Amino acid sequence: MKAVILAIVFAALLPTSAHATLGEAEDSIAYDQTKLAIHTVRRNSRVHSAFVVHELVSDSGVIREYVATGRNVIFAACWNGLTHPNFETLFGSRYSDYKITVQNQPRIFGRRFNSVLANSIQVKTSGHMGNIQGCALDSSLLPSGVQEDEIQ
Amino acid sequence: MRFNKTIPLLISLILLLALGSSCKTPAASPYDPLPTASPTPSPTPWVPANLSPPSLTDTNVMQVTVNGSLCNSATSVSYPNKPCVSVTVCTPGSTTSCQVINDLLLDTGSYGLRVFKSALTVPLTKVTDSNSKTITECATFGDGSKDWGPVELADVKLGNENAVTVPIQVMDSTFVGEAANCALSDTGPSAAGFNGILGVGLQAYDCGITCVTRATTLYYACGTTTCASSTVPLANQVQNPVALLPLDNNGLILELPSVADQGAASASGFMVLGIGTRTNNSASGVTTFPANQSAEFSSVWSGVTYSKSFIDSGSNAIYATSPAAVNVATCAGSSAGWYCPTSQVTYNVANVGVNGPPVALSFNIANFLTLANSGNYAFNNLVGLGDAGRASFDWGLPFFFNKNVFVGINGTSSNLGLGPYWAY
Repeated sequence: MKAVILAIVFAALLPTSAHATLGEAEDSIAYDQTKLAIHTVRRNSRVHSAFVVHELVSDSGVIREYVATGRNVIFAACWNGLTHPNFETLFGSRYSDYKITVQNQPRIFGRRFNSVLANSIQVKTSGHMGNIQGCALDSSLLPSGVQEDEIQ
Repeated sequence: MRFNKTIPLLISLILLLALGSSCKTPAASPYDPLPTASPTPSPTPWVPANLSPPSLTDTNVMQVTVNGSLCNSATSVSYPNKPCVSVTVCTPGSTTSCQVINDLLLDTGSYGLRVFKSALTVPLTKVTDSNSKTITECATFGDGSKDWGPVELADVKLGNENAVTVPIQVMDSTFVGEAANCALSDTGPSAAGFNGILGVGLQAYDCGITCVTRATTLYYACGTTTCASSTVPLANQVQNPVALLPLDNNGLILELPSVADQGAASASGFMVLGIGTRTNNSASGVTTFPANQSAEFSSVWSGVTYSKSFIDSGSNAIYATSPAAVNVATCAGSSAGWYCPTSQVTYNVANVGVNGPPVALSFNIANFLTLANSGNYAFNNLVGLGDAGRASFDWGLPFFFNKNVFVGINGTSSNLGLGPYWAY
């Protein structure tokens, strides 16, 4: 059962339904807004002609989701905050691929960043206590003309 | 954070660390298990510039070994530049129910003491909220690793200081039920590479006021079967034990010796508690770099500003992606996350405190394969790529050698300034 949660929307930005899962449609998962304890959603279409960025704000940080213009699919998500978000919710059907890859990857000691390159999802994390960051991307969904380093 | 298809290889660096360089040392493995730890002799005190020499008999001095006697060899395989300390942990209120815990990563990039449950032998007291729920944390690190477990009160003794009663995290991935964002948390010392972490960075609390007013994914309140995000008063948050010392609570100095360019098997230095509170921590002639509230400042390399930079003894190398214009040679194959200049190169950069001027410094980048094949573990020139977006210049352990690095705790002051700051 997916509950529709009313988003508090900043005046200058357009209202939108919230969503949070990579590879799913823009308007399909208001359900996840509850799971991620999102209290504010901002929609910004002026960043890039090829995608719209939804900024989902919780008490723990911010998740930015990238939706390809005209394709209605989330192709990337980045975050920063006190912790990494709930990856199972955020990565959706790609989570198991991520989990298997990270479990099979040798641990590298002493670092403050890491890359997990699974078949269906790339996940990069960085930062330090108090300011943790990361991005997840399905490169097969990357809109043409968009470079991976434009997603941050 | 940006994506860059040219760097898919960071994840496989361990292959070289674990297997050795296939092209250079087919037989020897550069980071085979450490030789059986012969007890390291007491460190030879040296006289650091601008400071009186510390002595382990001083009240406020602790020994630090980089891959030395305070590190467990079992957890230090493939883990160069690992700074270890030991502390004494006691049941609150007891002077007899105590244990010395070694193999604690000395980390200026985090805040508070965290010990794996499996390394604890003395009973501690769980910290509970007004509903008798156990305060539990999902401590999170930049490499994606997470540590789950309850907050417990302990008496912690640093060096010869009096014990302080402080909330610590007892890391236990099996406690109640991991919060969803803490899935795949570290299971124990062999997974994490240490018995625990002594976080002595710029903050007194590991969250601070944010977690007092907001229920976050950092702190949870756990009953017997489930956990829920919860606010936590400052007194119940995991705290930097240095900030609770009676006299030496405004920070510390990390004093590590020089090591040769080819590295050393291990190194030994000191952590001196307090800044300007005693003869052995009163310095002149150092430069103060104020940090922002996220414990970051800026570094500038060839005109590129890395605005989320930090000084972090818990990073085992200097990690920074060179500006495109500099283009330091990277290693090939499974070592592609490291730099491989033909021979050691020196770069001039600058650190910039908040509202401060740029202050020049230089650092060396050695050929990673040369270091990895040296059989050594302590290096002042071990440098790898950082985030592709060049947001952060991570001044890891190599930065600390041959320096006195001052760590000024947020909200405290000393003759060097108002925390949070670094000085060196």
